Amino acid sequence: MEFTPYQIIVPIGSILMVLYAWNLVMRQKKTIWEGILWTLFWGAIAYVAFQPNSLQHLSAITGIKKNETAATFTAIVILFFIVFYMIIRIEELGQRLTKVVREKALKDAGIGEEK
Amino acid sequence: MRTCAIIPAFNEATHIGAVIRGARQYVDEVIVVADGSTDDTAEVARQAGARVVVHPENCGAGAATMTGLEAARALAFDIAVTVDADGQHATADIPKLIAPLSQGADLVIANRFGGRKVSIPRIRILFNAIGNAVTLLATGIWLPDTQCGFKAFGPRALRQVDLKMSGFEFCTEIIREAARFRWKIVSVPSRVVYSEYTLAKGQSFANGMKTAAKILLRSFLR
Repeated sequence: MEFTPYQIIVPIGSILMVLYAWNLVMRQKKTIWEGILWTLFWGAIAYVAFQPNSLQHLSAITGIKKNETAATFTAIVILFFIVFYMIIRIEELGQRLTKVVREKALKDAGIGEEK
Repeated sequence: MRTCAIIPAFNEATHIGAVIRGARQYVDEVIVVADGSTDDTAEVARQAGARVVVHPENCGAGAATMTGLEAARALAFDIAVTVDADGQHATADIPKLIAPLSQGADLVIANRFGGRKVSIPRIRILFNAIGNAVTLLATGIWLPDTQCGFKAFGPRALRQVDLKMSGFEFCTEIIREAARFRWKIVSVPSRVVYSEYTLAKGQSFANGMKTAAKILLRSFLR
């Protein structure tokens, strides 16, 4: 059985992402549940790369048959994630400001900063 | 073990005095976090005998709770009980909430739906069910009442908790912290008082949905 470079690179990348996720779980940065979700997600990507024909089942379920429709749908999903990431970044800035406000409030109340 | 009550409050001058007086009977100290309140919440809380920390700006319930928890840590408390400022929680249940901590629990959460029969509005029951489902999807942990603000943190949980989310998402984030650090969680039935006032203070459906979407996407992309 011959493999295309795509069928080799994508599963290797997926394995690395899964290992990274479980490394975060071990360091208590992610929960076990989140590790499982990541494993399922990257496992699915690796499977599709390995078995491209499996997408035909997805086509039967979603009704998306034309390539143009699939491309439009994919673009909308990508845009959604880009917007979501921007929201997250803005929230992180908000969290930094909140941290400053919280530290000032504790200091003003005569409660020392936690070390 | 030294115990404190933490009350995050935003414009609660009319109700917070009674809540503080109720909680003081069962804890060593009450810490009120006045979260950018524009009324006399801070002054009323001081007069009622609470230690008050003032956020100069409104940062949200999660941020106010985390400020209270940090204050509890800095003041060397062993146990912290969080109570809503609107008077919906029965402060007389604080001993019941603290009891499981001496039996190995790290986090005790009141269950508003497991106590004596009280008339809980259907919309609240629906909100809670959605909150529980979102928490299950985000953390893998099922609890009967994940969105209740009446909680007790044991020494380990108080030492480790680090909330990042400022808004109402913090209830689910606390369960995520429990999953992350593998705390033992116990759910205890508790009475709840729903009045027009407490219902008006709750989240809107649209806001709840937005919160749910944020929690799910964050938990996946984190």
